Amino acid sequence: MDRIEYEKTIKACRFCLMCRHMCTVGNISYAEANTPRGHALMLDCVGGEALADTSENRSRMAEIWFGCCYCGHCQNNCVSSYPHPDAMMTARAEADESHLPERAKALRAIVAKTGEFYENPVQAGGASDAAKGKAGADVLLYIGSFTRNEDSGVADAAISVLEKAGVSYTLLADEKGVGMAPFLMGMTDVAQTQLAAEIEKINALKPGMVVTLSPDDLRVLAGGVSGLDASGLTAPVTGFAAFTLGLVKAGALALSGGGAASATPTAAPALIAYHDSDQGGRFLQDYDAPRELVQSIPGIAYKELFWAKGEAASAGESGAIRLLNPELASKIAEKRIGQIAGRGVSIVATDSPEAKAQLVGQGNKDVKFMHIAELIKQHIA
Amino acid sequence: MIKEAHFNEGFRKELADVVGPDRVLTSEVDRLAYANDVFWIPNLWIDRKKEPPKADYIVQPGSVEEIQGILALANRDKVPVVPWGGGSGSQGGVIPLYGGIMMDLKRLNKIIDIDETSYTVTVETGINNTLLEKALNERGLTFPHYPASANCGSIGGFIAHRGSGTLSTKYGKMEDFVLSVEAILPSGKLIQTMPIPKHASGPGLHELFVGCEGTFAIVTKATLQIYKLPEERRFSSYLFPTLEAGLEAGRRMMAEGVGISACRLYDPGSTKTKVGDVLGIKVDNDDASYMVIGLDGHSEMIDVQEKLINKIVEGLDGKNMGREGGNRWWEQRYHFYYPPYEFRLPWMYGTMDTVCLYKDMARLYRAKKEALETNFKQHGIRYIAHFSHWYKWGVMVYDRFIIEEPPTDPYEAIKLHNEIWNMSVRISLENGGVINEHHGVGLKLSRFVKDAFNKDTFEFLKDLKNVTDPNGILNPGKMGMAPDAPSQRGLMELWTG
Repeated sequence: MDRIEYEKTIKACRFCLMCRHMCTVGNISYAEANTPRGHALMLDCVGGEALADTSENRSRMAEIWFGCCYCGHCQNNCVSSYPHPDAMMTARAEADESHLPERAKALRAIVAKTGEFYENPVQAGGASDAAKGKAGADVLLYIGSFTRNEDSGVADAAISVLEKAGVSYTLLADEKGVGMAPFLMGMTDVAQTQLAAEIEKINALKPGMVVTLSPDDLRVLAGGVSGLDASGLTAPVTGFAAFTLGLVKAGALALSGGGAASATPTAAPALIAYHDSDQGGRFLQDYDAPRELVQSIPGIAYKELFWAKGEAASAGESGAIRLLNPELASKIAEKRIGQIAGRGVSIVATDSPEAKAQLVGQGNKDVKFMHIAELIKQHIA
Repeated sequence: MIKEAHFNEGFRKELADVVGPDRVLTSEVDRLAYANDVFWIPNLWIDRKKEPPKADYIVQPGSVEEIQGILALANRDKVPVVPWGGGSGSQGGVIPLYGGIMMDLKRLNKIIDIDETSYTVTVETGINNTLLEKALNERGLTFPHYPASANCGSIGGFIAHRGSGTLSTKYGKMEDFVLSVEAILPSGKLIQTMPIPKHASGPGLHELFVGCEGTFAIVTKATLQIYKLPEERRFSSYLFPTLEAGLEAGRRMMAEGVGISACRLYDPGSTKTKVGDVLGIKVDNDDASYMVIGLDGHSEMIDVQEKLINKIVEGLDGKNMGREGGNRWWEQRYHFYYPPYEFRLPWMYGTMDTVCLYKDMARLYRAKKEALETNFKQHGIRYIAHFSHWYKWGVMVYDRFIIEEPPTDPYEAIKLHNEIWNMSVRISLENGGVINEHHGVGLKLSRFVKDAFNKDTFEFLKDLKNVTDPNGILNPGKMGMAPDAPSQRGLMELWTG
């Protein structure tokens, strides 16, 4: 974000408490310094009488910037939509390396080396190999860093759906990420370079459309992340749920009941709910398409959670918090489980592979968490 | 006499033994985050790059036992303790002028019991108001206390200063919601008031703690009245040719028992500025007053109420502006108080709300407007108001002053600020008003408490304080309870005039 917008945001947030109730980290640590008002106050004061510019203070502040979980609730609850999450990422970028928490330093080193959060990142394999690098396909399926490295089943499910619908698709032969990992670590220049290179590779294949499996990638490629310029992307970009809904509506993909919808053929349909991820929900406000897609499955019973859409608690998947502070990320996910458990739902779908992993990680035995591609795959007619 | 507290590592360790090391924050960064609320003076002070008073220790207890442990240490060493709810007060009620312990109560946030037969909820008082409301809404219930600080304030904070919400005209002020409280004295004694407030079994002791601003005890638990979510909430807007016509309309609605849930009447100044800026409703008539009326309950009853209201409005030459403006107001009711609509530094501003009988209100409003606009004309002062908490007997005026170019020197600015407040409160008291209706006393109005009572009554209030808190450790300097001890850098004297 530019300097003027950054300073405007800090000045506004310093005097406002409207998002206080939804601040994910503030509601777990209970520390005022972890709230948007607290962030803004110290950013505005550092260097003056109110807050000395000492190494100790800079270190504590960096700890706070790298402890913000980038859930988007503050911006979503802001009267004036001030981009406080972007201000936090700017603060991360401006934090001096020497003051960073040790875990952040270690992650920066990995990202500097590989461009991702993984020491030895992998590419999508298996059935997708034949489709890689094919020019002129209708769809380029952008797998995403997390799915490639930690949950390839989501990619396999999405590919099955595309193939069943007869969609001509391709994948990048060597996905490197669209810059989110370096961006979250405050390495803005690295992030932009990585994004530009990825866009160049995508453009070279001339796909009719780019479809993402992670809302993080969708947000970046759609130009929704301040400080990352995706304007060079020539193809339109959309999320998997919206694209698949289009296939269903066009009659290109038929869905059926059974599968995950019921435990046995004679049992009552399982209650299915939808979890709004940080990036897909609060930032992109992509609330309708995934719900419509889930509800288009014949014979399923859909239940809207009370804590849904803008009010759904984060699962702790954003801001690299699960890597920077796994204990905090787990507490965040635990709170979200508290909003889901005991409401009668047995399946919860989401658009975010990272959010799914966070929720699965809580080990709740009564609810099955699935990426929406996995749910749809189970219901292909 | 309380000590002028300062950081002591041994004392920090003792606090950590009580609550755990992670729940005692002592970094300068963390202490700064607890150095201000919404009171103009500390915000100006910080904005002018001056160092605000900071607590020495931020302590986050999670149980009654931990609070008792903290208070035992503080009482032993005479270290000040300031309770922190959400930090959203406008009166400086949490400013730690004497340092010491900032007791952040947000970890006490459990809903203990929801009684769907009696419509009560029992909560720990650190719970956030909006999160409580959402939890109740999930069950079709509501705690209809909607102040502008709803999203950040805690139940304990609202109890501490006897707050009001947007729908107070139907549901009452905070003191009307409270059935009983649990509170801890500095001695560690656990006070539990009677389970119900209506009785003939001695005084209603819960009232001693509702509005005590943390100066008598730490309120840890409360049982509150709740309601079923109404079938409908309907809002309509009206325009009156004069402020007096609007005031009379509101009075008649209350006197005739129409049963409105909200009535917000904007004076001509607010109608031109606030209503125009926030709601986008432009009014050409410079004398006109805009009113929003809220009704909630069963739709059939609301239809009847609406007819009665329309009749009253027509009888006073008011104009029905329809429901759109009313609904917009409800949706944006908090927007008035936050950026970019709220007054902001470097402006000087203050909300001087008071309440009086209907017979006195127009006179009080006119007297204050004239006095402030005349005496502080050279500073370009503006005075605007709205009337928003209505009773059978009277109404509250939420009046505000604004100076867009105050003195740049913070000492001069604070001096001017306090002169305006001195005049404002004097006029309120002279015209049958009180020093405050719903924001509380805090630090801002502390010097006026003695004027709100006769000498013996004020002495009695101080005696009560001496009984509950003989060492004067609880929230020193607030609610008229000035301690016999120096404040940090003499700021008590400067900030409170």
